[in-house]
Amino acid sequence: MCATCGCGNDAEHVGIEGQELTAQHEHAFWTEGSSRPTNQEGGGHDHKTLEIDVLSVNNQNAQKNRQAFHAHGITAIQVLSSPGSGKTTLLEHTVGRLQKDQITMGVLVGDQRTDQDAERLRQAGCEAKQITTGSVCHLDAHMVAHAAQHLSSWPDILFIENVGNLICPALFDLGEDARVVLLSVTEGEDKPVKYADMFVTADLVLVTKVDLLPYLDVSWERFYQVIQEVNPGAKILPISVKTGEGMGEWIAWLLWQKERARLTHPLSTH
Amino acid sequence: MHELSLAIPIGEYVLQESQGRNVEEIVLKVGRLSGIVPEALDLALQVVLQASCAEKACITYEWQDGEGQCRFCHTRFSMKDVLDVCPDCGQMGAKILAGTQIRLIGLRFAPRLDTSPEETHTTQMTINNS
Repeated sequence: MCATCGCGNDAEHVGIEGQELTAQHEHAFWTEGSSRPTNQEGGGHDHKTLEIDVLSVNNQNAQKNRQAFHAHGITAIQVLSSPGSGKTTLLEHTVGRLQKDQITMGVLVGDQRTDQDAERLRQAGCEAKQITTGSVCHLDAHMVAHAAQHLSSWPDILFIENVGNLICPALFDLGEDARVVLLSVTEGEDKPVKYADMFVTADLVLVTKVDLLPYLDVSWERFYQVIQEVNPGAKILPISVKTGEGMGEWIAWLLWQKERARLTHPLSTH
Repeated sequence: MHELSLAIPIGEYVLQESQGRNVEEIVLKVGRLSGIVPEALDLALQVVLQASCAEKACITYEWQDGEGQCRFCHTRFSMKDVLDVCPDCGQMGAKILAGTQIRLIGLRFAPRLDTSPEETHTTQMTINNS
């Protein structure tokens, strides 16, 4: 029996590190289907009024994740973007920087297939667990819970790198403390408007690969202006792992998130 | 295709609440800021509910406007899209207060077939004899 949610068993964890993806594992609904016994009692009403929040299952799981993260002193940061914006590369370059500040990091990384990203991050020097989602285009709080319990130690900062996708992941709370959305300059400055659902939920927007700006017909100011219009509440930073530009501010923001989580959710005594 | 992830819990609730009765209609109340594409959710529900008592159910959407608060002048206003501008100051990027919800609000069942007293009696006799 899974300790996180009571579903399935330990052998059925959702696509973690080469195990088979069994996302719909053992929820009674799937095994019983329509052959569930019929209750012939009760009134003959043709309508049944319900008021069920469909997202509540994910939201409750996300809340459990959040509480568990805080109980273990973990600050959770969700990292989102389209494929190829530089999420994994940024995290690779973040490992060493955080080590200088005595901060440990771990990564749960979602991809449709392969554990290449987790391997890259392990090579960079942090613990990483791959979540392979198969045909699912986003992570949900349940998958995160399964992957998190496979971590060998609790990191100070846990990055949850979502599947590269600017649409679907916006809807699902994973239990993170803050959301970072990456936008690489080669994607174009129109993306925050086109994929507004993603950008309006961001706490920080990192405009990546800014070293390429001289080769493009768009300026940093234009990126800043568009993102700021869509989400005036977000912090916006230019960054390039190649030149190191913005890395200091990124690390400072992470340390501030860590401090904020520490003050808001002081560690319990256990 | 995140609609499949929503169709799964909806399907679970529908089967749980219908208790085997044939479902003709599933009514959902969906916020306009939820990012739901009804065609995609219809398709996903078709997959989830196939070969069940709700496989022929139609899906009815009741759309609900969202609500936002301007980050500049703090006006609260009704939103149909996440990029709607504040009616007072014309700024985008309002803080979203409501409108991302997806609620299963009701089921309509097919008329129940009458069970004749004899049949009921026979069933009870069988149970008593076993």
